[in-house]
Amino acid sequence: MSRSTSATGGITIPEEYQYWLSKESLWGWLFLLPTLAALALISVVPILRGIALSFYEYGGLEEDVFIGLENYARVFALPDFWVVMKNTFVWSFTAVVLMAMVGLGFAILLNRDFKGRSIATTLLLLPWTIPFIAVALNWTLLFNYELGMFNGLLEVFGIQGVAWLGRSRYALFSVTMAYVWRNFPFFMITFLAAMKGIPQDLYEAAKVDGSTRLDLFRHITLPFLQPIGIVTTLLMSLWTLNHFTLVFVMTSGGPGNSSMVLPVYIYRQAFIQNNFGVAAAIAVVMLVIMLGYGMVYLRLYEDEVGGK
Amino acid sequence: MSRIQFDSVTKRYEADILAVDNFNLDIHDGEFLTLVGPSGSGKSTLLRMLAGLEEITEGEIRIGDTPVNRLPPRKRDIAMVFQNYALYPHLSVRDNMAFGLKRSTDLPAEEINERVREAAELMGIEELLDQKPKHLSGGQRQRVATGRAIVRDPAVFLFDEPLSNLDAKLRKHMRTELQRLQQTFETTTIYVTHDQEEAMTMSDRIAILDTGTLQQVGSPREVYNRPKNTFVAQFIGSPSMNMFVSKLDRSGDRPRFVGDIDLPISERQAESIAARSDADQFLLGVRPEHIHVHETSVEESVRAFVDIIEPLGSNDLLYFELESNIDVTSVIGNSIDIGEDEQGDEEEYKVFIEPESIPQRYENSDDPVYLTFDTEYVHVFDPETGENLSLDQRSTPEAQTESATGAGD
Repeated sequence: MSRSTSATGGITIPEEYQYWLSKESLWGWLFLLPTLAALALISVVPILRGIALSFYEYGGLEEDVFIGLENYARVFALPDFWVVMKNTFVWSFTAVVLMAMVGLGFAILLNRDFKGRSIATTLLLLPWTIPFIAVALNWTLLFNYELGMFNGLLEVFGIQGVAWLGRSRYALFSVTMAYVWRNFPFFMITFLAAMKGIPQDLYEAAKVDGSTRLDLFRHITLPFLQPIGIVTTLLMSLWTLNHFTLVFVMTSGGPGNSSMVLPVYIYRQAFIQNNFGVAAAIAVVMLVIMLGYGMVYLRLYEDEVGGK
Repeated sequence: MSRIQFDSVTKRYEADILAVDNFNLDIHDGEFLTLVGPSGSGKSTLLRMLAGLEEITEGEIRIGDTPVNRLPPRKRDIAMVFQNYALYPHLSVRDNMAFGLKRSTDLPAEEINERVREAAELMGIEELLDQKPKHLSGGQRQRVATGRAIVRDPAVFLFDEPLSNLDAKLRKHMRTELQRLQQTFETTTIYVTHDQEEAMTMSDRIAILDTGTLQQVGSPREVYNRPKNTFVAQFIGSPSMNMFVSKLDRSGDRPRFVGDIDLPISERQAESIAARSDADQFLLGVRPEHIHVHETSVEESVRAFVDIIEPLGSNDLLYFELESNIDVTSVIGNSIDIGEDEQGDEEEYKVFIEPESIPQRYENSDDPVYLTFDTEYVHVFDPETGENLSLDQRSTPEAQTESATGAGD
């Protein structure tokens, strides 16, 4: 049996590796090459360069100096850093929870039969198609102290307006609102799709079994939304942790550090304060956090969606 | 008391699709009633209206003495078994079965557990209680679905084609089991199926529906032996009833049918048929067991040619052709439904014979065989209305009350 080996010009190659050297496989790699090269250039190389940089004192035009874990020690000693970490988690947690709730609410409404449902669906999806930069500018206007809609509304009720983006108490919350408005349709549409997939006879069986409307929601709808809900929540958390544009344009992390989140903080450390080594170290810390999320995500995805 | 009354019940979808048309039926307490009919006959719609899953367009449904038109399903004290079982996939078998009790009663947890255990024991699924539905086979799922219904001890059981997803052998087994359960509980049961055999074997009474209209209600024997019209005649019984076309000839000394098959009939019958219909030709319906096959010509026999002989075990089924015959569809009125049997082969004539009583060499040969008919079992149908003219008109209501009392015991 030629199961394990076959001789090619004197060298024996185990059968399981032979495919890798076959013409078909090589052609395949050839086709992949341009994409892989591009990916390596714009993604893998900067990541590796960033990780390396975190161990060096950045020298600018001079030679970089290796300083071991010094950058990390500096990062953890920065009082700002811990404030920013807290902000980042508060912001991503609040935003994701709000988006999930708003998304679920609209999904429930859109899952009913009513006239103009498809128009409503389209309108509700619209925010998701708007570029973040446009969202940021519009919401900055809405939050404007003098001209903004929110203060205008408050005025109607005789309440003194607020400097939404200019007060540390409200800044992060205001950015969160804009972010939730832009991204809730993602939850809405995944929840809606999951709801459409629930077999109707389960609702009928549950109705005959004595369920009220609330029972139907709690015992049929929710359990069916759970797997996709968990996965979407994790994915969205990852994207939110990563998010830069809205915070940068609307507040730049201010006033003070009150709305500062990690991506903006890294940017400031690197390009405003020229602490490239420190910025790289923070970026590595962030990378580790994201990898953690990513691993949980992959695990859950296999269990809940890809799984049996 | 949980008798069920359908009072002029009509269901219309979007104003113009008539699914159920003026349906009246009184189902007795503890009765096992089957709604049978082809797809689109309205049988499932009726069941779903009773369950509260469809609105009733017109008329009234009463469970016990309570009109339920406006009651939500959970207030109707019913349990239903669905065709696809509708088990809650995220819950264990135990929780599936306890679901209804938790929602509809205030029973303490131990009591619920105990009742679930009892029902599981009865269905033979105790060892599955901690499994999720996806790990169960079709037969096991069916048992869980049935167990989920009986654990509630409702006033009415509703079954919507509960066995149609099982293989033939399991289906027969579950049929007996469901019947036994119903006899144990004596709970009023409405069972929907398109399978006339299921209907025949399980029910106290059968209600046959076609295109939203009730065709006949009666005991299995009654609908089999005394079908009211061509639809019932052909739908009930497998293989289905043979239909021949013949003219009533009253010119000779004795009246007789002449055509596809020739038959003498009594003067009194001829009189009654002529009085009830002025049709020129009639449909003669004869079940396969009421025809006899002979190798030699006998008195009043009809020549026929053997197509094929199918051995069925206890008897054989002989398919035959006549020397000439008139196409049934060419004489019937437009509104008449000739129910097809499951195979849809209504064109073929069939007769049951003793195994090997007719030699195989007759298959596809030019040698004729000779048929005689049990004239007392020949049904005469009006081709325009489909009505069975040979039924004694007086006896129909009698037979119904008879079967109704029979159903109670």
